[in-house]
Amino acid sequence: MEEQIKRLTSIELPTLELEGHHRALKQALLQKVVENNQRKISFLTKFTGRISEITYGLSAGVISHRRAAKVTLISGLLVATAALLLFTIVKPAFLAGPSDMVLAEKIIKDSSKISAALGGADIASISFLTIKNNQAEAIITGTTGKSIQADIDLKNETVSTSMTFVQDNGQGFDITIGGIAPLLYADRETSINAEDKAKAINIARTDPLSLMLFSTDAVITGVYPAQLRALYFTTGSDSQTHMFPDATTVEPGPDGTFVKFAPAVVEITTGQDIQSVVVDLNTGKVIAITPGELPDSSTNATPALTR
Amino acid sequence: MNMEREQEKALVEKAKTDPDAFGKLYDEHYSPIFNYLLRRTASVADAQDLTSEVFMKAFKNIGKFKWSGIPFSAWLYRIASHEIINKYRKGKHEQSFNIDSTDTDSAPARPSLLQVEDETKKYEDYFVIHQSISRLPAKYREVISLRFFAGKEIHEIAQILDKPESSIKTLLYRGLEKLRVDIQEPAVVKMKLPG
Repeated sequence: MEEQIKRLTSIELPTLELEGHHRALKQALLQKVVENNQRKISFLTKFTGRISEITYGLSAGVISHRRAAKVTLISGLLVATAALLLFTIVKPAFLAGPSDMVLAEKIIKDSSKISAALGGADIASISFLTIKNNQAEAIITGTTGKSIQADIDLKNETVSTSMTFVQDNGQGFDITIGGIAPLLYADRETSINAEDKAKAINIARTDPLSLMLFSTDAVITGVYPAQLRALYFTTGSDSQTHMFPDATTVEPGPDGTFVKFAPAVVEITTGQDIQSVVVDLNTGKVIAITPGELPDSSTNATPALTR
Repeated sequence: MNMEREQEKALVEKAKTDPDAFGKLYDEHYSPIFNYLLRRTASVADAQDLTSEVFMKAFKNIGKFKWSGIPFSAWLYRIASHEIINKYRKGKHEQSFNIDSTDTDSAPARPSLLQVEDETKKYEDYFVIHQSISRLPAKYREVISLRFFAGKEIHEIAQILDKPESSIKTLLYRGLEKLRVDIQEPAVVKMKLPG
């Protein structure tokens, strides 16, 4: 028995820190609060609706004055009590000012930067990843299907950064960053160090989009350094090729933003299907998810541009 | 009652009406609960689902939580234990093959996300133990998992499972004995063949 206990206390146990899931679940809980508050408000609406019904019934001669007075009095008392409780527990918007989420939504909708990033398309949906300390992080999807990730400064009511642009092309996700159309390659001849390998896997499996690839029979079949070769369009006809192989690269994009990458690719195989998740080791974010294997960096193959 | 407990009690009371306070409790307990569920299920996906369920239920029912000197974490572990039982009770029939055991909540032993080569090697002992624990009857599995996967002391397990400490000691002793026998003579795994 002693030996058994010793063995059990000495085994290496799996431990993971899933920042993405932690944040997403917190956001879901926050959303639940919003829904609950809305439900409380609709409860109030139901009572006011009842009074309207009685008023109508009275004018149409469907119910007696005595009954109407009785029901109105009870309903009125209930509404007043409910309203008092509500105003005490949940301050309505006109008393407390807009909530952070409402404010963040307004900033996003008014932002010309976001409108430009979505190519002028209307906003189809906004999902908040975090809202705290006057900062919000959101994924905004346009009606064209293009999504961007933006950081919103609630205090100054500005969009402080707008950096990741992902587009679902029907087969997977393509990406344009600051207007640069990337061409991704896997560098299979250079071995990735253990620390970067672990980091790349962790990024891939904590990202809400790439997490969907990890079904129960999915297996990670390869982790390699990646290269991001980009065509940087200066004018409609003149273009210049840039290669971003490491973290030291800093290039201005057409809109003046700067991009800095340390890309790696994680290949996830499910049966016959391979998906390549390209992650940026610098920012800890997934920058692209594409079906199939990335072309090898030793080849001169040029994947089709998505821009 | 020590200071820490007093603070926790105040925070739990506040969390009943203040989502920010619940957020603080969530931040503090997310990681231990998630990792306990990860070790119980050996599946990141299942651990994520179950963690979501645990905190959703805690959030929904925190108004009913009555402070009786038992830490808030014990309540979360109790919800987690119920969720594990519920999940595998529901999922039992969905498996394409069954391990020959009358009372098992075992998840696949080497699931996708832990199937990275280095990690499989690193956690070899864990996988062996997890397999054996998952073959034990639920009452032993629960106690052993809380003791060795969550690092809980006897009195804490008693609080979580709402049982006397003496019962926990007995369950732990008998469970370890069964585990020892199972590891020495692993159960025969019968697979259902197609057709």
